[in-house]
Parts: sequence; C-alpha cells; structure tokens
Amino acid sequence: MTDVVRLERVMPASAIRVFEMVSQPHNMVRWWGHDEMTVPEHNLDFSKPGPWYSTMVSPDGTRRQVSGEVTKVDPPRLIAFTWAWHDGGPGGPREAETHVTIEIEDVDENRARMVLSHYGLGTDSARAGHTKGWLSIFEKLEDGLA
Amino acid sequence: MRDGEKSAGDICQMFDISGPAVSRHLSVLHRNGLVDRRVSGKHRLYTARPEAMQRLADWTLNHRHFWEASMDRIEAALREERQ
Repeated sequence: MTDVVRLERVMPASAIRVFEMVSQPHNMVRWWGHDEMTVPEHNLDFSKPGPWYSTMVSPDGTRRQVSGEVTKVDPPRLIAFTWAWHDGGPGGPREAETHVTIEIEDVDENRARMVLSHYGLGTDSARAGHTKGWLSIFEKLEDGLA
Repeated sequence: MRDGEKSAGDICQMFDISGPAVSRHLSVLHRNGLVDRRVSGKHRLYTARPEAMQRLADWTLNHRHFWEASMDRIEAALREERQ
C-alpha cells in the first residue's frame, strides 16, 4: 500500500511562469479543485508562508473544507504546505494532517518539469477499498429493494 | 432500505449468501451507524441512514484525482497564455 501520491508533468512554460500559475492567488482560482466543484470561499496564496483554506461545493450542494499552512516557499523551485480535510464539512475538526510538496525545474526555456508529491495518505487506499466494499453492499440492498 | 423499513428476512432473500452471514453484515452496518434497527415482535427491521452514507461517499474524495485534474487545468491555463 502506497501512502504517497506523486505526479510528474512537463509544463509548457518556464519554471518562473509555472511557479506564478501555481502560487499566485489570481491564478490559483483558475485551477484549484475537484472537477465540477466550485470554490466559493478561500484564501489561497501559495506565494508566501502562512495559513490557507478552501471551501469546495459539489453539484449536489455538499460543502467540504480543506485547510493547512504553507510552510516553505523557494521561488520558483519549491512550495511546501500541509493539508487536512475538515470532518463533516466547514467548521468541523481537522482530520489527519498530510504534506504536499510542489517542485518545479526548467527543462529548457519554454518547458518546466512540475513534480507534485502528497505524503501521509496511508489511509487513502484503505478507505477507498473500504468504501467500495460498503457501497457495493448498499447497492445490492437498494437494487433488491427498489 | 432506501424506500423504508425492511426485515432481516426480506434482505436475506436478495443475497446468495446465508442468512447468518447477512445478519452479521447488518449487525456491522448497525454498529457503525449506517443503518437504524428496531425490533418488532420476532422481526428486526432495518432502515438506511442517508446522512451516514453521504459521509461514506466523502471518503472517496481521492487525492490523486484532485491533483491530476488540477494539473490538467494548470497546463491548459499555461497553454492559453502562450497563444
């Protein structure tokens, strides 16, 4: 079982430009979040150390909140921050804290490699498996009773 | 159960596993707050709890998916700026 999500991608811009896109508030709102979720409240700014949060709303109206602290910024090379969901939505107690790093380095003048690592997700795959098991039980119950 | 109370016997008939096995599953669901249970005469009646099931669905918020979708949008925004 892996407890790290690691994604690597070569982006079509210089490291400085990628860093600006990833870290600046007016750019962060362009990409932050799950598909189909809106982000009505946040103070996203990864260009400097400090606390951050974001509230996300799915199409069914469910509100979720995730928050943390930007712990290290070394432009344009590195951004490090903590990350935890709030149990039950906004205002709920924070769940186990996890750690994210974003590393950016030039490949050539028009391209930069971005590596995102999310550490400490030991429970993620276990939960996903767990959930799948429970949901399939519910599906059977519902199919049979519909 | 979504449509209301069902007895353990009704639920048993939907599965290819034994009655005792279904009872064990239902007990676990009940112990974890996913279904309500009440006893009526000889029967145990079960009802699903939608709010608990919603919490389960939240667990599927997958971090790999979050970051992949975000990186797709970062890449698209950078491409847009280049044009």
